[in-house]
Amino acid sequence: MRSGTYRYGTERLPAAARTADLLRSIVGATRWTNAAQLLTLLRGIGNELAGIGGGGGNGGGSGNRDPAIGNVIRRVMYAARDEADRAPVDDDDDDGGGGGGGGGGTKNSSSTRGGGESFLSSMLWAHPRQTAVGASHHRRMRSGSGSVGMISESSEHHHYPPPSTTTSSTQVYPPHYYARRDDLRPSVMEAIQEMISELEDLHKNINEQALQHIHNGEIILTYALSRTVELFLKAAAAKKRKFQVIVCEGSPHFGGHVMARSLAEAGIDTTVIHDAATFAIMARVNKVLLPAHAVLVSLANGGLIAPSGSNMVALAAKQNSVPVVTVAGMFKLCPMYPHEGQDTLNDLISPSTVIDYRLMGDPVLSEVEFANPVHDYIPPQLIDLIVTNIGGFQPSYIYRLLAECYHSDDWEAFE
Amino acid sequence: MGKPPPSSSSSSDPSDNKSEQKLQAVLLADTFSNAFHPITLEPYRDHHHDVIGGFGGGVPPHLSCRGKERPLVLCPLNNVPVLHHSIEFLQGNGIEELFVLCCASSGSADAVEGYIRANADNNSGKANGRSAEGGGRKIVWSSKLSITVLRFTDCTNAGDALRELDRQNVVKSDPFILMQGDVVSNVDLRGAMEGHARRRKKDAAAIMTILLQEVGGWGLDGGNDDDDDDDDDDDFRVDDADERGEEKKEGDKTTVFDDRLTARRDHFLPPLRSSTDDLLLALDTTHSNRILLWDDRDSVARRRDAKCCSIPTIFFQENSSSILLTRNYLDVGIDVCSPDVLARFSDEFDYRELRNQFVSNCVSEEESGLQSGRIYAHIMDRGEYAGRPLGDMRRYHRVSMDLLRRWAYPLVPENYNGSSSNDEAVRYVCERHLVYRDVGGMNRSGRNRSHVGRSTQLLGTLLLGPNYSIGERCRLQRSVLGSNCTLMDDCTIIDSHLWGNVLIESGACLSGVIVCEGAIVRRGAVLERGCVVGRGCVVGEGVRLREFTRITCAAAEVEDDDDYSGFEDSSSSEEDSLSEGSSEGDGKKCNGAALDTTTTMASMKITDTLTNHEVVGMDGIGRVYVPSPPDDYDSDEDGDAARDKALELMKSQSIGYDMTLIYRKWQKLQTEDEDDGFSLDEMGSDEDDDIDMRDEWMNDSREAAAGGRNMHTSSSTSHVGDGGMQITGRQKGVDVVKELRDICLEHETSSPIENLRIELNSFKFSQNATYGDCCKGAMMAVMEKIVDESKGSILTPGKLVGLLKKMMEYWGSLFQSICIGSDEEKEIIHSLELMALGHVGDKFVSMLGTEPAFRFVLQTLHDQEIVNEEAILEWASERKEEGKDSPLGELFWQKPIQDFLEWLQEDSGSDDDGDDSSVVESD
Repeated sequence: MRSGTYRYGTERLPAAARTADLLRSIVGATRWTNAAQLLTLLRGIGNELAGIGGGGGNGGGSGNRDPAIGNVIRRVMYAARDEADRAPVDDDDDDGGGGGGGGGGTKNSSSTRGGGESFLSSMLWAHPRQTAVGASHHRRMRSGSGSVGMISESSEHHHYPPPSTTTSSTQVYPPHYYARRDDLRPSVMEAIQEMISELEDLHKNINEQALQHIHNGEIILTYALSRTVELFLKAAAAKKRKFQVIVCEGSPHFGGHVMARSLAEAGIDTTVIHDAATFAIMARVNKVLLPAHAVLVSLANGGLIAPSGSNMVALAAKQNSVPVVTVAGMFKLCPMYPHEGQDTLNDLISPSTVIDYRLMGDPVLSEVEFANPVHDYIPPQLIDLIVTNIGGFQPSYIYRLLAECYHSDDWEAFE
Repeated sequence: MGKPPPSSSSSSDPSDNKSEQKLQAVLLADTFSNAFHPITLEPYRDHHHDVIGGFGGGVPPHLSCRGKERPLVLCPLNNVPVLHHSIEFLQGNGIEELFVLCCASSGSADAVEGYIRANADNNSGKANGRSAEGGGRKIVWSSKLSITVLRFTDCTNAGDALRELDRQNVVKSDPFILMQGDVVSNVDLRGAMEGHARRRKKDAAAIMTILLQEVGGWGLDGGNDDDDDDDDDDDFRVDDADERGEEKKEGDKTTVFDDRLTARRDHFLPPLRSSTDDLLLALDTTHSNRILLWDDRDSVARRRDAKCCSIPTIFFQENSSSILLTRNYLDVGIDVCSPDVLARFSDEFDYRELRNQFVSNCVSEEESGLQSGRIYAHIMDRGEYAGRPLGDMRRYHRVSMDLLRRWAYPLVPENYNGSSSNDEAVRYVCERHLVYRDVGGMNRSGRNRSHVGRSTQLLGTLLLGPNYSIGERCRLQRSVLGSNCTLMDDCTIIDSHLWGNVLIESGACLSGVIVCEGAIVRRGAVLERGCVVGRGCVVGEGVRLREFTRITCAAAEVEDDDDYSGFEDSSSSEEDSLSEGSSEGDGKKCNGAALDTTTTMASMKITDTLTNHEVVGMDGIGRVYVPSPPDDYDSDEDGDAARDKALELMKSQSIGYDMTLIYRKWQKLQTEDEDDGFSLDEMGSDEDDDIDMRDEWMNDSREAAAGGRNMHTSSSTSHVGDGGMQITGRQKGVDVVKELRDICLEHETSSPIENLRIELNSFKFSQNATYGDCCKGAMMAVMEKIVDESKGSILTPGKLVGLLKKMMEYWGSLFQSICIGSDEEKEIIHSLELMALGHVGDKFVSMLGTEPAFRFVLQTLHDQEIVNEEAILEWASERKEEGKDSPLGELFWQKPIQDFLEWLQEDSGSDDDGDDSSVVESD
């Protein structure tokens, strides 16, 4: 995760798993007594990581390099909120009064007491107090410089502002979050542990569904390199399904070549085509399997951020009425808005894969602008199914999943 | 505020080195060049120093006084000091301890240290204690990296600095990174370090790995194509096998001429090279790119000094199958070294420079078997970029634009963090056409006053720092604006760098200009390419600054004073011409104009030392900077020439300088050289002869074809000669063989015969001769020598044989090596025949033509195993058809010869029957 050269097609999963490990060690080691402190701490970590993740510079202010990191933190925050809401609030009157926050907050907290209720209410707040929260939010953490390794290896002596000292945070959370809760730590740790094991079993869970989606004799088209897709196809092949795979090479990074080799190694009938031939060959294809960098969710959206060039594939599939299936772990579910993606969410990486630097000696050519975007946005209407580790969903259903995974107050991006 | 970092204080403790050696790096903060003069001569003042002033207790009082000069590494590149780029780069590559070597004045060292202190992680900054170790103070930059600034102010070159570093004995990690202070890169060093460690484990002599970037050469070579194959642009590959066997092994040294090639039409001049860099490398590609030759003389020098480079042949014998000779690679200034490198520097106390002395000697030393250091190259990946912006301003602009064009991703402006002091976080956003704007102040209302007029064109590849204000109808392209820059209406800013707090008034036009902090360009001023406006200077209203003019407020250097005086007399007239011609700007004129400025400045010295008003205008501030000639310029050049040279160099180091000029110059030099080269190669015969020879050869080959049939019936003596030399043709035969004979005759018999063999061999190749020709020539030479030996007395056959035997003791080995088969041996007989018949000179006729002599010579050669019986018998079968009345036949049918042949036939018929000794007895 250190700032080295960008390696295209790297896996997101390890980053997510490392983030979870990091959270476990930090949350386990630091001193906090109530939910508000914990949440502030988590948000601080999120901001820090987003800043380091490299994407911190864009207008959306979200760590777009690896949205998975932020997602993992949101999941933990959700778990913490869930625990805080669910637990008995008997001692709320004793020492929770110190919070004494805004009136609106109290109302909410009273309505969200009790387990089942909180779940429903969190679903109903599709986009509730976010604007208010966003306005009060201010940048607490600004790291001058640093790396993730810095935190992971020296979480002990890292400097988080003690949550209690930030005055504005008193308004952010419902009052009962400020109650001292000794039982919170084990349950949050348990939630983190749960998530870690979920990440570990991610591919297994996804691959279990392979047989439902890949049938004998099918021709499946996939784009560039993706670990998830690769394992998914291999899982189907391992269960004696006979099918043919057409791999788009994914210019200019040519991850498709690696992919094709790996698939052929597993005994899958593999064909590589160049990207421009996608449309021509689409008529023969039964199903398109796309990798995802992130699944964007905002309200009814379920769009994808995928390797650049895959939008073209999805459009070609739409034209030929070929179903498009996306394979992605739940940790890729992102509460972001697609309009953030137009100019800023993308990563423009070095043009070295597009053109040789030596040609830059040409005074004419050096004035030409070479863009090398990494990602594409695929609108939800082009996608038929998103296969996650907890099952397959239509894009329109994704926002419900979102409410199950993240608390709406945490949707706002880390920065 | 936060928790005190408990382990960071312990990490700054040097005693924990024992437990685990931290990865260390050495940054040479000075490049010992003056390409950035006068910017680097100006006083450096920065708000970071003010930050230090407010710092609690940790700062020594002398730091608060301003440094005298701006350290080179604190020049901003894309609004971030280059030093910051370097430190972040090293930190990203896992360096834990960094030594910054400051060799310039103590003022600049203060500034460097001050900058590091001010920008170190604020919270750890508190813990920055002082430790006496190494004479430097350890600064905790972040929890991962601590920095020590070492002041070697009495060192004037990199070698001294490294020796001093070795003396302090602080660099212990193996490997450590040695980096030039001006490198901006996104290289992943892990690969290079792993490779280094692997080689080092196997071979303790592998002390250094140099990173190279493939950028292409100057295009003076005839590259075969320009597609992007990895390795054949400017490469010259010597591949294994026969060629090596024949040519390379033969001498101690082999010379490879590298300027046989012609210029390519669609060449691209490598933008990242400095104008003087023309690095020639030999890499052993089979042994993980071991460097066998490091020749970094610049192109002009290489052509002047010696036209060749040499690679010890031992490298060819060390079972490497492929050696790459290339000018494609650029030295990026990052090395992975073992501490032995520093020790080597201490041993070789006269090394001053890292590259052209240490490295080039180190790789060539190996031939002498010292085996003290092997240096390897690590070729950077395609996605990796490294630029050295502080080498000269042309490259500064180039690297800056490359960074904005994202070649060094992830080192792009979006990811610059903590570039300025922490409270004023700058955040850039990349917009369409690579326009980067600062949005850091957005959230703090009122702080961000950035504004762009609606009618202003922002045309791509721009970096706009915080708090800019740009008026209407401006045009900006390929430029960088620092913080708090103000542009009024109708400005044109192209290829320019404004370093912060710069005011450009309306209508000004800047093209290829660097404007330092606090400078002002007044209304309507025009700054042509390559200009530099120093810190705090003012360019007056309507002034037109000629191209490559550098304006500064810094006081003139003392040593320049003498030089000015010589110009004073002519100054007034020059001044007039300058003001008149200020609107013209063609290339020829610029030279004169630049000189004008020097003269005018000389005159102004009397009135005002600090401002040349006729250059910068009446309302301007600043003097013209004139580069002082380098210290080591040739003493035979007079001051003017040296100054011209320095000016020319300065120009070539400025933005906007047309590199094709340099390229053309080289091309011209090369064509001149090629003419010279030819005459050298010809070994005495001029070109005209060459052509003649070729024509003749054409005729002869036709004749030879016809001659094959004519031979039997030939009547004229001259044709008989042809018949005898039918293989090569007469004209050529005489010429080449004669040349070969002369070479043999000139050879000193005191030196080993091996040398002669090489000489013959090279001549053979150059003339496309055969070994047969060599044999002929050598045999004639031997006979000639025998004649000389006899000193005019008549040689009886017995005497002849005796002398011949004596001769063959020395010459025998030569014949053995050049006689490949019976064809060559037959040639020897042919040559004897020719001599006997008097085609070569009459003196041999009496010697060889008389009755038994020819036979004796033949037999002797046979005895000496120079000519074997096969060849003799073949020759005999050729001659058998010759009539007894022709001269050839006459010789052949001599009785003794026939006896000898008869015996030979019997001998070969019954193999073991008689050996050579018995034959001699039978005589």
